[in-house]
Amino acid sequence: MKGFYLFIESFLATVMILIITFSVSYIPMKFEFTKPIRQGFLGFDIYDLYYSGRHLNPKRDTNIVIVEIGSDRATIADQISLIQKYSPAVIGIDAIFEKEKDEEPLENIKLLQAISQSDNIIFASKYQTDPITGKPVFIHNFFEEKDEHYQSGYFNLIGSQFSVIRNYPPFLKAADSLYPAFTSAIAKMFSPDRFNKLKKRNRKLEVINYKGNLESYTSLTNKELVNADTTGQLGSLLSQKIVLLGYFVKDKHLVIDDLHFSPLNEEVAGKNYPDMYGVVIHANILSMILNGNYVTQASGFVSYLLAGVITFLFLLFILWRYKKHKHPKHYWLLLAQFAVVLFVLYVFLQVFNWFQVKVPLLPIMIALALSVELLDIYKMIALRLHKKYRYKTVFTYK
Amino acid sequence: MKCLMVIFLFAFCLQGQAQIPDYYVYLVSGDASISKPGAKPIAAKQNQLVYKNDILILKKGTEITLVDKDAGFFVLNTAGTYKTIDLVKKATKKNNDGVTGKYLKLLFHELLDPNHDFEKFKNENIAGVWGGVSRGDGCGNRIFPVNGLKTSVSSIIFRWHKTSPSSNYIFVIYDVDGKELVKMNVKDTLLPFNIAEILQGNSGKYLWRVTSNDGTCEDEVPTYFDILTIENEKKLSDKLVVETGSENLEKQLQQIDKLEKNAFINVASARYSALVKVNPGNGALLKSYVSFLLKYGFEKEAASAWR
Repeated sequence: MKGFYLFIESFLATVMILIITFSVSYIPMKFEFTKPIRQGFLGFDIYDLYYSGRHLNPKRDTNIVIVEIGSDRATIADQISLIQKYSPAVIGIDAIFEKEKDEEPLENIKLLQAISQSDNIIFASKYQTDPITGKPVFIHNFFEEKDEHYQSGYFNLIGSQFSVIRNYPPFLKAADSLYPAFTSAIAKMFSPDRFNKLKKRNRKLEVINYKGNLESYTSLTNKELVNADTTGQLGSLLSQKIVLLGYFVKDKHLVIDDLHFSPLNEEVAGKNYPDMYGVVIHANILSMILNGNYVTQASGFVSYLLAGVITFLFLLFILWRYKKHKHPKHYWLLLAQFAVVLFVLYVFLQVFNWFQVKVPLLPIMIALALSVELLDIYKMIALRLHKKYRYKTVFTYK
Repeated sequence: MKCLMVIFLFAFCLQGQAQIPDYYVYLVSGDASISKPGAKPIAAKQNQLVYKNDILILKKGTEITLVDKDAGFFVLNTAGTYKTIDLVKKATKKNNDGVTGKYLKLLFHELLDPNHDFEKFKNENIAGVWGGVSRGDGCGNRIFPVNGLKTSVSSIIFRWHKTSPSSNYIFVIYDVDGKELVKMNVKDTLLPFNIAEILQGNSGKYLWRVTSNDGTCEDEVPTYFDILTIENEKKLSDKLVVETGSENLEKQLQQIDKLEKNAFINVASARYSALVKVNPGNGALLKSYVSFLLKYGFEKEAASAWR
């Protein structure tokens, strides 16, 4: 019966720690001085280790071919015409043609002609919020009439230029309509079954289960495309496949234009150079949808619940030590805390590796990090209650 | 007897294993060839099988993508000679660490070796970054005349991309010995030139370049163009593409392509124009002609052809 107090005290201390952990999540992190914390600590995700260095994976998704988009509209029109010769299932254009360039009418005509002859092109649109009204606005291509749009999807990714792209929204609800992402629109045309599966998941955010970088897809520069066409190699590459036309640079130094940080980055923690082009991120999302390799993201509630269970077990262990050795050394507690943090990180990393289940670790880590110090506060409260109301506590020793 | 059977079976299995190709060619871009022991090299083609004893020869600018038995892709893009057997070894060596390995490595670096972030000098750290930039890739600021242009026209419109914010260009034509024949300041990105007058009707090779003081990326090395007599131009272009008069459209387009690749741009353009005229309803042909004209900066011609 004596041991029962340990459970009660561990439970109460855990509740206190969880409340404080929850309060910590409300600390505004938008201040400039919190930037190092955001980028160095909050930007770190242990699950990135699973993806880091995946460019060594030699397997490719041959359903998707990435083609370097031409530098002007006339070249893009030529590329579309050339690609269409080989009957691809879908052509996705990861670019937006915002304004009709008056000084280049021929380019526009060529582009329009190439587009009008195709019904398998998915265009990109851009999601923005109106700075005045704050309402969502979708920016479409110049050739789309106000109410008549070609098949398209927004190509926005979540975050800023410094963010690691880990999630994306497959659909966006705006003004009572559901808008598909660029990749969702492509999946709808390529495989309605897979698209329905994605829709049925009904997730606001999907974790991108990365397959690899540019090496994981067949990629052709504009020159290589023309060369492969003249040497008759495109038939087997493009027929009934998804062709993504987008910006990338091959075999040269990366160019910071549509280049993002991805979890595949060699440097898991700290500074590095962005490593993945936007079009490759879209290709990875498509691979995930088409292969059904989704990641299950646990909710915040589950995360807090696990934080509670883990902290409870840890505190139970510490209180048991208190009971046994009255004055356990502080350094010993800190070492135990540190070991538990490392062990928990490893366990959740392995859970992700085996079952593709991602549990948000921030609440668990904050709760564990605060547990030893907050236990001292609990101790003070418990002793005061003991003095006043004879509250039974393990800390009543001299 | 049983033992003999087993030995035979083992021997056949080994023999069969040796006949399985290690790779097949998925994609070739550029000049790659495969040579079998004791045989002449043959040009690598898509879907060609590559065996352990084969040798791959790659020329500069070539990329070959191979696929192994496990659908693993292997890309070679550095010029050189490669033994397939070495590639197999190299490919199998590449293995990705599991998450435990990565995690332990992270812990080691973050906890026990915190100076890995280049604060402590190590030889391997210095290889990661360098000052300065690479040079060698062209800027491609010149549009027309293309390098090696062969023409007999009397007037050429020199065209280039805008590279100077102030639009102050220095345009120079040299003779083959590097002597400046024309040097002038130009405010525009095109310059019509009566080439016959300036070069006093002399045929031969000439070089040109356009630079500026505030340009972002401009090719410094002059490129040449070849001024031919009309007879010579006809002779050379006829030698390149022999017309029989019975060519179909595809064959004629191939001839134009050949002329274009050999820098007979004006001849190719004239043939293209004639071809479009005799095929008035062919939209695809017109589009490709317009694209051809735009590529060399013939915007007016492209506009009038489109109309």
